Amino acid sequence: MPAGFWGGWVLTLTVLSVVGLAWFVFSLYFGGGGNQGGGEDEGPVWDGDLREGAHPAPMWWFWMTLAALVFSAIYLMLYPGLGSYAGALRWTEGGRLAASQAAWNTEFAEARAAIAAAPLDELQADPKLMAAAGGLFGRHCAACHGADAGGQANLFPNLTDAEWQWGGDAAAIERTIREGRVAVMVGWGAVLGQDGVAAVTDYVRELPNGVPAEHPGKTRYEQFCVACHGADGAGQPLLGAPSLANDISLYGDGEALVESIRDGRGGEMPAFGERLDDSQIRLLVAWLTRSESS
Amino acid sequence: MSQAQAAAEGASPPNAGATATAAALASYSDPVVRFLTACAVAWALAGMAAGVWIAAELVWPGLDFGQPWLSYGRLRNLHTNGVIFGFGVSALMGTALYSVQRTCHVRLFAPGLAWFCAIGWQLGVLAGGASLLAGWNAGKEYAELEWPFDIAIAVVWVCFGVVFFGTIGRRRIRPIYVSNWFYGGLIIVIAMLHIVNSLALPVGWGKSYSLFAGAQDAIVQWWYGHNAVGFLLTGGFLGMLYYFLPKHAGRPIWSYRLSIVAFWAFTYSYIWAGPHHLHYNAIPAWVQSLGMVMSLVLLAPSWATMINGVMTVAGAWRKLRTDPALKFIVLALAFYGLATFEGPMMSIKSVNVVSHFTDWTVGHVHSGALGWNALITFGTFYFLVPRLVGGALHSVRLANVHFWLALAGTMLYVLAMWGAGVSQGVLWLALDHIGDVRFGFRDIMASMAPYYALRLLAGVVFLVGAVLMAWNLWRTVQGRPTAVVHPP
Repeated sequence: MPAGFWGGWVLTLTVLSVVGLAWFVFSLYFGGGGNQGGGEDEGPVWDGDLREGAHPAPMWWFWMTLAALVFSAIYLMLYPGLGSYAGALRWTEGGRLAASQAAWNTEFAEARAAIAAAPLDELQADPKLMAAAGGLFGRHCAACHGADAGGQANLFPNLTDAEWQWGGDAAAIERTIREGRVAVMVGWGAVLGQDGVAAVTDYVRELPNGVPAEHPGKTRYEQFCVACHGADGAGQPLLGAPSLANDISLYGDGEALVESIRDGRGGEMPAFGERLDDSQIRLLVAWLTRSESS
Repeated sequence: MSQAQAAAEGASPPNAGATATAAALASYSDPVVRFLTACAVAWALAGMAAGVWIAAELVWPGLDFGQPWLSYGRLRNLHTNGVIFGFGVSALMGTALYSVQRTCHVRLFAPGLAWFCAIGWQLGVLAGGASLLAGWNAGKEYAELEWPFDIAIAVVWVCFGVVFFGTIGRRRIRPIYVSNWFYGGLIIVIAMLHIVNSLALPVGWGKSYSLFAGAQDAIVQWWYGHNAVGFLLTGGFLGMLYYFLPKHAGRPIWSYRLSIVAFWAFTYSYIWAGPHHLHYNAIPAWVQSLGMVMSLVLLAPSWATMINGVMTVAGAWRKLRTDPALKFIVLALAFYGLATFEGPMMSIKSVNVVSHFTDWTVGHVHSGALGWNALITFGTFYFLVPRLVGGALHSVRLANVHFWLALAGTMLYVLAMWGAGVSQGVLWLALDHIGDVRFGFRDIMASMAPYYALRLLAGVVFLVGAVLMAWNLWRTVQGRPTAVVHPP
């Protein structure tokens, strides 16, 4: 709200403009000489045949303009517009937002509190709620994890398979959504050397078929990798260390696996705790853990 | 009253001396008008083709072939700049220079400077278009060109003003005809808007930062953006209407008095209306209220002009049957009335809640741009071009076909975008049974497919009509020298 001089400036300019426009229109219709054209026969002739038509301005145009100006005056009395005058209704954008939020709360707050506290199987049994949860996924998650939750680009995990890097139980998934996750795998190139990277890569590729008894990469794996990924390659969800004992490989298992071991990886899932409320997070957990999901 | 009498009756302005009289005897400077008309037609084809291409990209996204310069983000700017500044301004410059000579009974002031404007403008738009494709972009809608082009535009525009007002200054008939008021408003206001909005700090040939920041930048930008629509696409083309419609209908402006009143009311209230582009954004509430109120007031002068135009034709309805050019102009008036009603309605804040950020805005713009600006220019060209060469239009039948293609294209376009825009606005606001947004962006985007396909069809239909016109006008002027016409 402009105060002081500028408030007065806006007020004066606006009032003068509306009054001035009104005066201008009034003087056209009721001023000296009346509402008449120049007269076709006496007026100037441009370019051979262009003349001033003599018809008076129609009365409906007067009423239309007057109505617009009266509406303006009333609107500016009710709503903010005239400088620092707040308007008779004391309307503000903030007030409008608060009112619509209050109305929304009245209508939905109770139902949403119930959802946030409901058992997952109850939510999963309600097709309407699952449809709403699918919509939530589409708006908030699908951009990275894909419209079908199948992951994409060897960067964003598939959420429909058995692999859950940070744990697949409801509590772990909820924490992943609410707080986000930051996964760090350091690069081992300097430690292992080129041959060492190749040997460990090969060893890791063997792990889905069981732990090899003899392997050139075995010693190094058990020295450097085992702390996070485990001796059998089962991974450690508490650290976000993925299982190496299955065929699922987020970043890819070709040259990308060599890069993962040599240069390391950093993965980040942003936190949604500020963007989604408890009921929405609960619905997403229910949707992700429902039986037809994986 | 004969023309000679009329010229004698119009008292000479104070500065009319022997030189002015001698200059007046020289024939009108029409070759520059012919050049600008040809450029306008070429820009119409190029700009509309770019529009059709990006409409097709919305249906088949792969049409950019992975090339940055073919991407929607760059071609869209080429489309808007090509049609507004290439087609629109070339047509306005050409018709302004044509009509100002004839309504002042004197040849152009500084015809050499007029040629400088005409050629300079084409080079500016051409190089500017290339810079947009190369990715230079100042980031302001309808003012995307970077600072070197902004300076060139300002120089050319001021020269255009010198030619126009110089011609008015040595007119041989005292009252200034109404079309010149609108063309003059166009020149003065666009110069003011362009120079202020383009103030920027350059940091390289192709990069600059606006002198304004944040909300102020937004307000300045839409003060420019909306009044570019107001004084260029509305006011400028009203100048075209006020000369060519009565000329063509062979009847005086129905109420000359109303036309002058409407000019001043239009000019005064338009300049306030820009903030309606920023409803519910981070600008002060009082700015939004004033923008909305003045937008509603604007309906009155807009419709005054429409009714004035319609009543001017009212005695010449018979001509509509045989004359495609007049048909174009009358249809343009109808779309003008529609768009100038729709605009104020969309500026009402509670309507804007639904319409803002949707394709409804795109539909509104095109009901004006296709239905009003393009149609009146087509009509004017069908009238003007044969006169420029002192011949007849090559094919009236082809012009009639063009008329129906243009009408169909415009209607399909506007209906498609109304459908798309209103459903976007309503679907975005819809909540489900637990108070969440009911439809995701994805779902709504997917539901746009049929509307976007219809829009593409509409664009193709409209473009085909423009191609027919280009051919028709080309055959009309082909091999004919520009007619030599002397002031009365």
